[in-house]
Formats: sequence, structure tokens, C-alpha cells
Amino acid sequence: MLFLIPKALDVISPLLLLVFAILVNRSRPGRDYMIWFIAAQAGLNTIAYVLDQILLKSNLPLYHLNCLVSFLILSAYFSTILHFRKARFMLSVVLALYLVFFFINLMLWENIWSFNSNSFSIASLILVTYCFLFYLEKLIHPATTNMAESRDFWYVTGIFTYYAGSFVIFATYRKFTQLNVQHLGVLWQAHNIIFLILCLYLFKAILCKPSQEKFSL
Amino acid sequence: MQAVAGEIQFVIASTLLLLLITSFVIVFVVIHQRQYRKYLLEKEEIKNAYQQEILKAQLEMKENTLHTISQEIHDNIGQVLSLVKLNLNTVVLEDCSPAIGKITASKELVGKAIQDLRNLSKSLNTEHISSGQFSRAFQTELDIIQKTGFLETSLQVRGTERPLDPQKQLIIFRIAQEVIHNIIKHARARSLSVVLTYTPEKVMLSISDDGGGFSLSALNDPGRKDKGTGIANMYHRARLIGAVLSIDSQPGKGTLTQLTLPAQF
Repeated sequence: MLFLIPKALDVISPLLLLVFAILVNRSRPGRDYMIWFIAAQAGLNTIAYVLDQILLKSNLPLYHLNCLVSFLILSAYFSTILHFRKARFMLSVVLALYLVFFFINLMLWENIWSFNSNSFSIASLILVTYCFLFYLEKLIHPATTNMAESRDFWYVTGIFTYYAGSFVIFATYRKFTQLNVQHLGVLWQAHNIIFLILCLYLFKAILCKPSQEKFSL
Repeated sequence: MQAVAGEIQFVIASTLLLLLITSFVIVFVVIHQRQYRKYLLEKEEIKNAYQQEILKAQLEMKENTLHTISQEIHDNIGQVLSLVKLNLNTVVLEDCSPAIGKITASKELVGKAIQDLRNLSKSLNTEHISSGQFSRAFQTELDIIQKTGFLETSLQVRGTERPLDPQKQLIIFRIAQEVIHNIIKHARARSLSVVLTYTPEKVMLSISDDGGGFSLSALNDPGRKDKGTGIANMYHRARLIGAVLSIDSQPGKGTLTQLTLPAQF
């Protein structure tokens, strides 16, 4: 029974986190983009798990959807926390370009029944860049409050760890599935452990009060 | 197959390396931000201390000047006028003399001038404000206003009065004088009420009037040219002693000014 836990980590952890997030932000959970991200992960990963482990059907189309939905939500989230000049405009342009790439990739290179390494790895690169921009802003304009008490800092750290850590897995996973490699499940279990780290960072974020860094000197 | 398994190992190793790098980045950002925050807080503390020193020096200079003027009024002009009054008293006139009315009126005028100068001397002298009982200093100030007949004044002390830091007591008193001055000048009020509240956590001074009041939004309008520096100075002085100043007013409903000084200050 214990060997099932690493396989289901990407289902159990977001579900528990979602319940906790809703309980903590009971007043207005819908206003926090990251709660939508957790909800999307919980929902899509659960369906993917049921398809793969119970119904024994391919769940790969769900990963296309997961990648797209996550990127949309996280782009919206970063547009609220990045404050450099024309940040919203630039994020909108990047989002539009990514959407074009996503659908071209789907039609020409990676069909819906294969793992979407291209779109996942490009999304990871973009999101890691956004995280670096966030850190850069914090280094250039540090606040007088403690960063470790900032909800946004822990959200971004979770996103940074997950997308930077999983980048190689995302980039190589399609090739390995096509080669029908043995012990491929180990690789996805490694991904699930990084996903658990993401959830732990998000848990820490939810424990913090929102908008800690209001007054920069 | 063995080679492919090696590729998976390579991917996992790369992933671990990336995780390590991300950890370094996060630790660097946290440490840097913490150090910078510490530096900014220290800078802010130095800036505040510097401003307080400047304010203290300014106040000392101002109070010394006022003290000198007060002494001059009391010891010099006051004495001269007392002598004039004494001389007038020694003038012997016959009951039917036409000058008797003028002399009597002059004696009364000189007496009033001496009393006014004493009051002025007392209000300029800060010793009774900074070292004496706070409520007594307020009562003296309100008595002077009451005597003018423009305003009905009242003072109420709630809680047990305790001594404050003399410098802070003086700054609070000067803020209160500015508020009272504004009421006399602008409010068209009939009564003025001062309440001093002492609790273990704070000292609160409330000054209210029943005058015309004003719109706070108009006060905050940056385009308004007649705004003056009095209110800005009041806020600045309150901030420097760690107190919170609030003004609540509406046209036609009077004004309430409250100054709260936490006990730890």
C-alpha cells in the first residue's frame, strides 16, 4: 500500500492543500489566484490518476490542459505581483505568444495523445523567468517587513522550485514515453516529490498574512 | 535498455542539481533581503534620532528666546509699569479736580496692562508647562482665553494624572496651543472643551469645539493655496514624539482633535 503514496502524491497533496486554503481564506477564497491554481491541480491530477490507475486509459490529453490552465492562472497571478514598468503589457504579450506556440505545437509537433514536453518546458522557462523578475524586484526595492512573512514570497518560491526542478523531467518525458523506457514511473514519482515540495511552500504561504510588504522605504 | 536507465538517472541527477541551485537562489534572496531590511531599519532609526535631535535643538532655542522675553516682560516692563501705577497712586488731587477722572482711568489701564503682561509672561515661560502639572498648565491657558470673553472653556481630567517626559509634555502643549489658536482664529465657536485622559496604556488629549467645522478633503487638497503649515507642523511634531494625531471635522458640526501618546513613549 505504501508504494502507492509516491504515485498519488500529486493528487493527495493539492487536495489537502485546497481544503486547508479554503478553510483559511474562508471569507474570499476566489480572490487569490493561487487557490485557483491549487484547485486546478487538484481537479486535473485527480481525474488523470483515475483515468490512469483505475480506468486504465490514457490521461495524456489532461496534461496539455493542465499545462495551459496552470500557465494562464500563473500569468494572471504574476501580473498582480510584478510591478516593473509595463509589466502587465509584457505579460499579456508573452501569454499571447505562448498560446500561439501551444496550439501550433499541438497541431504540428506534439499531438494530444503524447506528453507535451515542448509546451511544459517552455511554460517552465517563462514561469522561472517571472520568478527571477519577482526576486529581482525584491532585491532592488526591498521592503522593511520580513520577506519570510510574505505570502507572495512563498507562493513564488513554490512555483520557482517546482518549475525549475521539473524542467528536465518535462523536457525529456515525451522522448522516454516514445522509447517505452522501463522504470519510467520512477521519473514521474520524482516529479511528484517536487510537486509535494511545491505544495509545502504553498502551505507555508497560506499560513502567512497576505500583502506583508506594503511600505517600501 | 541499460543505457536508457542511465539517461533516467541523468535526468534525476539534473533535477536534483536544479533543485540545489534553486535552493541557493532562494537562500541568497532571503539573506540579502534580511540584511537590507536590517540596514533600512537602522537607517530609519538614525534618521528619526537625527530629526528628534534637530527638533529638540530648535525647541530649546525657541524656548530660551521665549524665556528671555518672558523675564524681560516680568522684570523690566512689568516693574516699570508697577512703578507708574505706584506714582499714579501717590498723585494727590483735589476731589473736584478735572484730572481725577483721567488719573483713575489711567490707573485702571496700567493695572490691566500689568495683569495682561503677567499673563503673557506666564504663557511664554515654559517651566510651568514642562515641569509642572499638565492639567494646571492647561487650566492657566484656558483661563486666559475665558477672560477674553470670546469662548466658554472647560477642562476635564479623566484617570489619575501622572508626569510625562518634560520635552514631550512641552511638545503636546504646543500642539494644543496651535489647535486652540486655530479654533479662535477660524472656527467661530462659542465653546471649547479640553479632555485629558490617562490610562495605563496611553495618554489622550481631546480638544473639541462647537464651531463651523471644515471639510477634511479640502484640507488635503494639494491645490489649495491657503492651507498653511500649522496642521502639517502639528502632525510632524506628534510623529516625532511617537504620538498619533487625528482631526475629525465636518462643515457645521465642529471639530474634534485627538492626540494619543502610547505609554511606552
